Amino acid sequence: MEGNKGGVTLALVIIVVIALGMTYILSAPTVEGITPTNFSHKYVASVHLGANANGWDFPTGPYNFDNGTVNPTFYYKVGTLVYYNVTEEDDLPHTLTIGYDGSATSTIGSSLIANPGLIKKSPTSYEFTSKSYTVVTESQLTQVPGHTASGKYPFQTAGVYTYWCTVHPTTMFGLIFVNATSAGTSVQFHQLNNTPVLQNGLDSLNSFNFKYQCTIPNTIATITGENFEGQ
Amino acid sequence: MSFLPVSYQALPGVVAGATHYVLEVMIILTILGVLTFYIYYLISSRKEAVEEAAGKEGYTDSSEYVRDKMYGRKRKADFSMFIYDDAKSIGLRYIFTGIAFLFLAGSFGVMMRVSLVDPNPVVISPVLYDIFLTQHATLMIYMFALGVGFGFAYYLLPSYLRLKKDNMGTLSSVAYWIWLLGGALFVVSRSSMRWYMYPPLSLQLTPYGAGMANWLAVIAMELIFIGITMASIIVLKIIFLDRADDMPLSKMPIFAWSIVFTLIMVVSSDPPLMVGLGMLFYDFFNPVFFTASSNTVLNFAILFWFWGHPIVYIAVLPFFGLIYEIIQKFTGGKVYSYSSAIIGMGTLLIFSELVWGHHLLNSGLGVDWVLFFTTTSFVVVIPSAISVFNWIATLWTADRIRLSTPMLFVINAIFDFILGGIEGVMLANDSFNEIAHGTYFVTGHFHFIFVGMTLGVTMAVFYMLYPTFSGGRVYNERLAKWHFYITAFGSFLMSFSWSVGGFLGMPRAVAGYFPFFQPYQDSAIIGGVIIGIGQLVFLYNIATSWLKKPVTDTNNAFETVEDIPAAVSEAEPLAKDTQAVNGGE
Repeated sequence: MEGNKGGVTLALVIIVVIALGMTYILSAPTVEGITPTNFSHKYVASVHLGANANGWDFPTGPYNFDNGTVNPTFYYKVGTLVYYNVTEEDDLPHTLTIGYDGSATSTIGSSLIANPGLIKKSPTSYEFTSKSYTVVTESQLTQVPGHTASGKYPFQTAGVYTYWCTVHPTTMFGLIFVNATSAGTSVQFHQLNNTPVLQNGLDSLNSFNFKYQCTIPNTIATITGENFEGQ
Repeated sequence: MSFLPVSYQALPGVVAGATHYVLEVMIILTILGVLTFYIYYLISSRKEAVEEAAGKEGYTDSSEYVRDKMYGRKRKADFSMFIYDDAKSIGLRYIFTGIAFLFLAGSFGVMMRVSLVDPNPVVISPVLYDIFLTQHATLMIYMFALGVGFGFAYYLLPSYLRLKKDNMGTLSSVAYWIWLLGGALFVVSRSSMRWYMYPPLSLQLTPYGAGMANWLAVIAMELIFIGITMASIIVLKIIFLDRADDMPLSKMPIFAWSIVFTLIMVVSSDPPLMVGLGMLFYDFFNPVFFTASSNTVLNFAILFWFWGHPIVYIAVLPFFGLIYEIIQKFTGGKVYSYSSAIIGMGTLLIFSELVWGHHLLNSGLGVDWVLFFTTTSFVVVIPSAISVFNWIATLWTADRIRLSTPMLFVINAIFDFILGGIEGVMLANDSFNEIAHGTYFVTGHFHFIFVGMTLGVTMAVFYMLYPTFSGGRVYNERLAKWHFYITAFGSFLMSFSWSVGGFLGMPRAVAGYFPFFQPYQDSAIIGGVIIGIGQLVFLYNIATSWLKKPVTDTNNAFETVEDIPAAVSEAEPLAKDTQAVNGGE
């Protein structure tokens, strides 16, 4: 009876078990996909977007997607919680992902403001930013035109944000500017023709809701008292 | 990555979403499946040989043939322990699985320690810390401490009690696999609900709640409970019905008694939590039990701690018994007082059911109940002290004590048990408990006992059984001594730093701490890493010494030839086919 590899086998099994277990636990989903629990928002807004591989579609009227603005730019005050309703317009997979590009004065921020076309030239520079968050995931969508999925995103930091679809990053993208100045209680809302529309927070919510027939997921009372984890 | 009150600082490269999670689980299950198939391939030919041999001798059930053939033999550790289901093979399965989980959960513990180098959680995120915390605690208690306890019971009791028959192997095997499946699924669940599973946290299926797959963790816990309940009943049956006729209860080895008390605790205390877990699982779909307005989550806490305190004793009581046995082997004498040993452990069984409320002293039980639980918790000192003084008296009256590695582990276990026990008595005082309950003082208290006693005595018994496990090889005594000194020093440093820091108010079970506590955390980190290094020395020692030629016989101090009547048949060579089964040695 010569040497036996029993002990080596035991050691190898233990090493494999530790390696597998460690890797598995360390790859656990942690912060991504989670809205913060302690975010106290001042304003609420709701946006209805059409997911179309040719570009994000912003409807000009109720159920009127085809005549909308493509890839509109949005303006919000700091502290706005935005509810996103995404209606599928084609049979392709999409996501609605939002990433923080930096403050408006940072290099990337100012260059984006100066030339929004930049983001189209090098989509990967923002697509894989570590600070991105997918509001509406691929698995929430069904590739059935007309189906709507929802998500929410709180804008806590002033600066430039990009929203895009990770499946179609070269066509479906746009900018969001979050303004830090706190003059007035108004929400700077979506704008067309580069003219921000200034409205009172609740009024804007209601008028927007009325005007575009957007679905507000909860009543105001529920929203303000809501716990944001586990959406 | 900075501390994360602000969200969206996601880990780069990690993609969230159910699809990716399923993919990840599938990849890991595939790897495990391939490994399992390889092992199956290795053993299937042996299994065929066994069936053939069994058929020749007229057995219809090959397992029964194996049990008859293996009965009374000292059992070597090899792959065949996973196909044979005689009591000793089952014991080996439990022992080696328990040790594998010790290393897995231990690596989680070291990871937690290392992540606390900075007051802010800069190494791993708080969510990961919570997962490591939950996994470390649950795996250590249910898979390591309980597993090794069952392992030693299954392995040693057939020799100790000279069993008349060994006929529950198939059920034991089923219990083992259910238990192992439960443990594996608990890791897969990546739950972060702490080991006590309080709702409403455990009902939140998010990474910031109790984990995305926490429902799986609840199922896993139920599986573990089914496994250990089955195994407990089988071992109790072995002890009470199958032991040799000439062995009355009053002359049973102390280890057998400690197992009796442990298993009575298991079968009498785990039904409340099994029911509680069932209700908790129902609450995932229809929250009518614990989070409904007509109920309170405290009800779950009570169901849990009715089991939660006995499990703490379950994790140490078999090792009480083993300490008695080991001391006798290394002093060459009998234990100082047999009857007080039994009385001490038996009273511990009774009190384990009466003190569970001291885990909930701060929950508003009311003054009357707090007085009751505080009093009973103080009274627990008496049976514990009976055992401690019995050990000391046995050592005191011995002619000489052989201080080889297992005995060193045992002496350290007694020392650490006294320290941890005194901290436990302090915690039983309600006014002190109110201050120290949420601090590292509690962590220091039970790590003194668990690392010192549960881990230490496990290592002592493993070293003593090593010649039998390895087929006549001896471990390197020098490395084993190093293993002991490193482990003992590291465990003392870690638990003592926690105790002092906790006394000053260092909060436990959180991913960060106030910079004021840096020295206590730093020394605990050093202690924790030192313990880890000590276990690597152990692993290296086992791996290398197993590679050498056998130099001694396969006897061990626990099961000498005289202890085993059937060992006479060891003189006869095994049947040829059985030799093939055993690997042709």
